[in-house]
Amino acid sequence: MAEPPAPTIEQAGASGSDELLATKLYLPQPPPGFVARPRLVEALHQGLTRGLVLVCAPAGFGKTSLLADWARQRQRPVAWLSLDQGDNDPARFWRHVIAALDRMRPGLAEQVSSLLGPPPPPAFEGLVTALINELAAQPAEDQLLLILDDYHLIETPAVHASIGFLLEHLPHGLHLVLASRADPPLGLARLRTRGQLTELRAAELRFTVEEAAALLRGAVGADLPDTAMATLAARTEGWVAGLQLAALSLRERSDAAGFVATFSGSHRYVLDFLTEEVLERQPEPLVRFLLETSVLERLSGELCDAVTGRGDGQAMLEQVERANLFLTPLDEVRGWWRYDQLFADLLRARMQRERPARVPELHRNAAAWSEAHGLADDAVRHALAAGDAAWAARLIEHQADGLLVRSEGATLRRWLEAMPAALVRSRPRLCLAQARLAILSRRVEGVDGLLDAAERAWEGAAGTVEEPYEPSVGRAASLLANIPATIALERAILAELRGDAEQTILFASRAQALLAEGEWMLAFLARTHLAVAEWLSGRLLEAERAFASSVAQWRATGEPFPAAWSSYQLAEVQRAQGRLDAALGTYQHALVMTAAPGRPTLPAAGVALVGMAEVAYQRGELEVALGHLTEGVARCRQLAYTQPLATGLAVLAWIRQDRGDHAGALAAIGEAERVAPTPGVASLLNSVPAQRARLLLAQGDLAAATHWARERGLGADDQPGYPREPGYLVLVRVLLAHNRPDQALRLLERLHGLAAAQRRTGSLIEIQALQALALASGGDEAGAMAVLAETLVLACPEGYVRVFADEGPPMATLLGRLVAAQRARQTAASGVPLGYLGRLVRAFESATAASGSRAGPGRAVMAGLVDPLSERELEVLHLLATGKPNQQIADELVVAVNTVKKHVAHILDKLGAANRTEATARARELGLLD
Amino acid sequence: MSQPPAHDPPAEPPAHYEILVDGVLDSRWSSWFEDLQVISDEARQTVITGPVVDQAALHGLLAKIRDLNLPLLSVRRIRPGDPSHEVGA
Repeated sequence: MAEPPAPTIEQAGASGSDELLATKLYLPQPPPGFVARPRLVEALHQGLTRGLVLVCAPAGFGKTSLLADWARQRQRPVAWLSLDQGDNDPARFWRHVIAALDRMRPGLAEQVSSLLGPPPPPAFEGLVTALINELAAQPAEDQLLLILDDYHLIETPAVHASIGFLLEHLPHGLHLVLASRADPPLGLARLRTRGQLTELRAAELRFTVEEAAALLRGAVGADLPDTAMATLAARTEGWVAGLQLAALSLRERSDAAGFVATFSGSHRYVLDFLTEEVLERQPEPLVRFLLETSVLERLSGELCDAVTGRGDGQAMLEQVERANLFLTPLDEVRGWWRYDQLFADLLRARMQRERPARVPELHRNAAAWSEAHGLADDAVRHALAAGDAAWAARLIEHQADGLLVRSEGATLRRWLEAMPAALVRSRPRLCLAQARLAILSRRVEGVDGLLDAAERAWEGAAGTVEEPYEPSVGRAASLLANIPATIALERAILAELRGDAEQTILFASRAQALLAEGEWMLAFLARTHLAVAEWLSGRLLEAERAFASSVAQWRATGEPFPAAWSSYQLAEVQRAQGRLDAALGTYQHALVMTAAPGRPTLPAAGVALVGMAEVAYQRGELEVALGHLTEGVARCRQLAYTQPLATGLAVLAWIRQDRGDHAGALAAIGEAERVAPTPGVASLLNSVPAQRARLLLAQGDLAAATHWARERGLGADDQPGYPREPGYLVLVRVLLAHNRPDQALRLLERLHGLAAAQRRTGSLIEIQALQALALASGGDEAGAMAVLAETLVLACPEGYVRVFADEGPPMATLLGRLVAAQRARQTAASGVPLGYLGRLVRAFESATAASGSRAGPGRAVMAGLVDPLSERELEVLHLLATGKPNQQIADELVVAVNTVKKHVAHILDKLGAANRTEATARARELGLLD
Repeated sequence: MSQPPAHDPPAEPPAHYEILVDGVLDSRWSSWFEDLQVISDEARQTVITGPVVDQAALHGLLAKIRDLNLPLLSVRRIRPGDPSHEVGA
């Protein structure tokens, strides 16, 4: 039973980085002196007809300028995204891609953003699929280009995988263009052989002599002799970064030839030589400005002032731009700029060389300004670069809740990994943040240790003044504000996963006791886990009340996922109580919450649909169940909480089993096991392993089921508690299959006692059904029938079917005898409505029909109630039911009247009816006439 | 118990690497390359050599080299004290 995440009470903390989002989406202007290269633009244009367009060359080859120029020329919609390190977080990456696309296709973001969570999706294919579908659904005449610049910064396999997926399913009218310094791992070789890749690489991007000449003349004037230009082109090898620097150098000089000679004569690394040349000729304050601001990824006048400690930042930036010193504007208003990456690296190298002591100070200034302006990512980066890990730690603690709320756990993990381990262990909030990440990603093994470390750190700091803590989401909604309470809460969760109700209650109560006024998030969660603990303890009324109150509270906050999840838990309790109608109602409310008309359906709707499928399945409405599962399972795949998906797949497995698709059943339950949470979880919270063993048994694999029971340490003489009941019920079946009914009965007795005391009607029905089988197996026919009859009476009002049908032939036989007894009007069976019996019988019927068995036990069952009517008899019955006389029937069926009379006689006999009216009535009750 | 987060100092001494690039960088570049030794030779190649903390640091260095567009000629792990790459050898 996994933990619902913090809700999106406010997109706190997102605002700062979103302010800079505009700069990432801005289509760059061509730099001054830009030389158009039609041969390359043509190649790009041609490439659009194929598949992926990749511009792949090292830094300084003009990739960005080329693509930007092409994009501006096209006058067609272009979605531009400049990537940065932070986009390695898949949630962030896709949020930004969607934002870029949304600019050209307004409304797109609204349609698909809900799939980003919370909770975050386990894989992003669901999101990408939705994106593809949305784009395909609104075809426009214009082709839409999605250009991702600096793709080499992406290192996360999850992002590569989702882009690969997009590539494979590119909707018509969308084209993907990547610029990168290194080949991206997107199966390029395969794309090449299929002719689905257009590449512009260094060889193509090198400036030809003519192009170099155009650039140089444009910068320096027409006086430059051809030989000089050829020399420069050769020396720089057509590398535009070198050409641009060379042009700058030339501008300041009167002796062009001399410069060219020196330059070509030197063997120094081209940029080394040229940068020195260029900087030497700049005024000293400008050079200092360049060097100091090179620590920044993005520059604004204000930020530069903060970093340099001067006040002329804006003026300096404009001066740098006028001098063509590789400063690119990132928006229309010249609020933000950045240096060309290569130039920035050169400046930083120089700074590192000349004044290394100043660098940490610059980073500190940058961190302070970023923090003050809500730019968390930048602040953390600069704080770490400044070597001030403690400051970075405070920043991370401030942001952690917000990151989790925005599904950016990957970013949080990256920050934590950049921190020194000893520092993390000494700060309780960082330990708790790590613990939260571990629980969310199901790696619960290390969590105890993290909580211990948090506790030690907390106690170690007792008596010292606590640092003020104001998380970005606010204290009231934070999971890190109240350290002792959160430690207790996380321990409660661990206990719950183990199925240890007592410890869950212990820790959750402690958390409650430690809560401060107004800490509603922790209060909610503590209450939820107490509710689960009540459920595990078998106190169903209390659990129901607690979950119902949880649902109401989450609904009041407007958070659909936690509300749907609490509803699911509420309905599980109702099912345990044997109240299928109530459970169905709960699921339907949850569906309404998550699939409101006119708004995109949330993945959380899958939870409701799986629940509805479970109820439909239990009632024998297999087609209905399948319908719910088809959509439900698909939506559940988009949830990080895999229990509903696992449950849905388990139901699917049983449906396939009923249809005789044994292999399909095993496949479904196999997948369910793979996605379900860790095996240490109690079988009540995760019944998939028990279901699998049961399925194997139903398929005749007694050895596997026996083995499983032994592995789980289930003993026939144990005193099982409710949390482990599903496993023990499998053991009962195993015992019966081994022909040990006495042992089974004793175990069932114990299970029955507990279930009766806790008023768990749902369990009682299953337990008693097994008791009937056990009695029959042990030779106590009468006892078996009595128990079965009683159970049917119990099960009938809510329409339980599969709990009997899934027990297979032995139950079919027993049911048949009961039905025969009822037909003979024996009192034992008289309390059970005929229609219900008919439904049960039909459920067995469909199973045997599907498995194609001959006159197996299934058929024998019918003897008591209905010798199966033949095709012909059914035809006659239908006509008879409409009141047609024999002659008319004979005419319609083109047979002799005597034949019809014989059929009618058989029908009356099989239905145990005295006349046609009675036969019709009976047939209707049994559902033979629709 | 808990798994320690990344970044605990490694137990053994760091490995030494020798990276050969095409082009002439003078020794002042050492500070950019994590204080590794930077020596160029008459073959107009440069050797960057010294201790590298771990594989992640190695890849960080290679990325810096890539980002300066210096053609990478070879990467070799060496024992500390091995003679440096010889000219024209």
